[in-house]
Amino acid sequence: MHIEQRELPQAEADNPVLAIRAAVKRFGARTALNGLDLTLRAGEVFALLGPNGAGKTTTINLILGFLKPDAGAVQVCGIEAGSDPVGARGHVAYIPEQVALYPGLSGIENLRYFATLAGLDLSVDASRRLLTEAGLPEEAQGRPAASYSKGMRQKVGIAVALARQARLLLLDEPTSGLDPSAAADFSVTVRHAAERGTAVLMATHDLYRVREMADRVGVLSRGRIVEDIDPKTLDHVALEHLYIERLAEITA
Amino acid sequence: MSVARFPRLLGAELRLILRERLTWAIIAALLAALCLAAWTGADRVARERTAIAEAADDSERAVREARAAHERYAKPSPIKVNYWQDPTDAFGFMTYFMAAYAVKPPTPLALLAAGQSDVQPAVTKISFGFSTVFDDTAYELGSAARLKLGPFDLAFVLVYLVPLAVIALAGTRLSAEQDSGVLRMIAAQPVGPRRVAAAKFGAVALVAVTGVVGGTGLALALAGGLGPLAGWETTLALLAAALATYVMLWVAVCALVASLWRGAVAALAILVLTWAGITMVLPTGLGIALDALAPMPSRIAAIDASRQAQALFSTAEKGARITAAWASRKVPDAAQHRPALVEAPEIKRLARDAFYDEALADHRESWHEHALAASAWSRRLALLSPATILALALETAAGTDAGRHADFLTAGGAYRRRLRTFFEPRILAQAMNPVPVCAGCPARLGFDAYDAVPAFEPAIPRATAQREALVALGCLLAGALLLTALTYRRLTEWPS
Repeated sequence: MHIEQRELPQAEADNPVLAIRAAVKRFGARTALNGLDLTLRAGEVFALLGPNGAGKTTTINLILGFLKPDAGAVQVCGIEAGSDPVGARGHVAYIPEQVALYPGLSGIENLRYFATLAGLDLSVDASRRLLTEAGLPEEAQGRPAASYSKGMRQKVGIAVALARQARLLLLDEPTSGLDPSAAADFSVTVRHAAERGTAVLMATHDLYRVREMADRVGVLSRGRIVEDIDPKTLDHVALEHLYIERLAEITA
Repeated sequence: MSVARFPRLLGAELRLILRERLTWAIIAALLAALCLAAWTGADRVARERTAIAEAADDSERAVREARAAHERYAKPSPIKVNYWQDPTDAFGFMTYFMAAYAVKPPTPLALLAAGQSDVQPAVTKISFGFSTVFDDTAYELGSAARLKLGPFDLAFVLVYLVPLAVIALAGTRLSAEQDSGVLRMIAAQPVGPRRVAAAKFGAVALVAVTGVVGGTGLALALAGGLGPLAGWETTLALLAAALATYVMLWVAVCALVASLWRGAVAALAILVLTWAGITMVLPTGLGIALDALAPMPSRIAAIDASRQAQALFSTAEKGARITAAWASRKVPDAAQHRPALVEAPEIKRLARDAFYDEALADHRESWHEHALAASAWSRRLALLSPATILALALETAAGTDAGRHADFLTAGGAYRRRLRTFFEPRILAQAMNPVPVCAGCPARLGFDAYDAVPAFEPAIPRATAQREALVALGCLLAGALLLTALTYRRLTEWPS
């Protein structure tokens, strides 16, 4: 299978890839999301900052359709994730903090397996091309995934996303635990994906990479975005100060 | 994902399972167990067949020797022959020459299950000697549940070990992925949990069914094969289908437990407890229920009644009175023709046997009724556990179930009575009118109807075996479908 990145028609590009409107999610007495609003368009990279328990993982789970909102709406490419999770996930590629693979299978076999789950039939050659594109060295592609580092596993996750040609890329703490070189590679890969029209939502604490990768930064507090910043308008130090300030307000 | 893509997903899961070393280790262990069980089964069946062949040889030898003796003694000779050495004496032949056996031949599928045959004989000698009181109830019938962990036969491997192999193969599907985090990667793809579970457990079911049914076939072939099936092909096919369904039922149990999303350790703990419940606790409970539903008559009371009957008859005066009453019933004008008839040993023996029969009839009947009730309740209660359903089907096909043994004992008792009915008029006739074969011959009487002595007609319960296999298939299929439906209902969403 040859993977070709398609250019989005203008009309399609104008429509939001992700639209979260006044989303509320409660777990018993605790309110995880309290009227969250978030819109993401094709090619945009949005970084979601927030302390642990702010609602980042709940937001991701709502987008993937693992949870249904108690109020509000979560739409991916116009598909309601709560009522049609499989349809919504058809447009989403998700790379968790720890990309877990079948340890006995090679990178190629893992990629082909996840592609099969997504309804794709990837040839070995196409799998090699995708893994190379994602940055996994060729000599590692045939090795069992048990021997892979976290960065290598993430690259297989990126290859799955590339194969899927997903409109929305969800990244959960993508650079935590990566060495600086691998983190830099990852930033480049994400930027490439965005340039091709993929919308990217990443939940992270890594302010340095946020400034490098993101077009917009949202600070999530008590289940809603309290700050929507253009990181390019601030340098690293100012961004860090602003984030710490917000955290102090949240915890006060 | 369209339905058309499901086979591709199933293929991917199959490749995944077949890549695991554990899969091959489990299949190899299972195959070794099946081969050992088939070999022990073949050995047992061979021993049974040998015993039955020896019984037949013994019967022929007895007739051959009787004929030779008849020929030898039917010529004038100075030698003197006692009645217990004389095959021309009907009583002498019946008591001291004849070798009559009731046999329970192995069915063509006897390799499958030892059942009752491990503790109950397949051959019973029908004797008219001194100890005749409880020949047909000499072996106490036990419930199948009590014998379940006895011999290492194919039924033991298939009923008890196969579920463990299935649990080892399928028990941590999805839950191990949940623990390792792979499940989140799977769940993030545009596919629902039902389809993934169907592919994962469908693939493991394919591997397990192929391994178990194919392994059983291979083990049977290595043990020498089943031999000519002689009309048992349908039963064998039904049993193979029931076995495949039993495997699928356990895969469905694994799928249902996986749908609880509790992780691999919890899943395995639940499955092992379920296995213990279904294969051990429930059948043991059913055994206890069987004891309550079909209470066993008092063996002590029967033995006591037997002793009392023997003591009564051995009292000279009472024994003579019983013999005289019996003789006058059988030959009303005996006293006129032969006043010393009641002193003849053969008449005493026939009268004694008839007296014992009558004195112990109630006990015999209650034991027989108990055997029938226990067998009937065993069949009914077996339907409550998949393990006992399959075990019963296998034992019935092998012809080693408790019901068949009860029938065999009853048939053995009936055969004994039939033989006595055959000999009694001949013995009486010879006693009333002793006619020597020739003047000066050692042979004192003229009995030579050796070929007319009734033979035992063994029963081969083919229809029962086929019915039990069909019932097992139906029940196991219903159970597997029910569990699959429950799993399907539970698997609406991925765990968050």
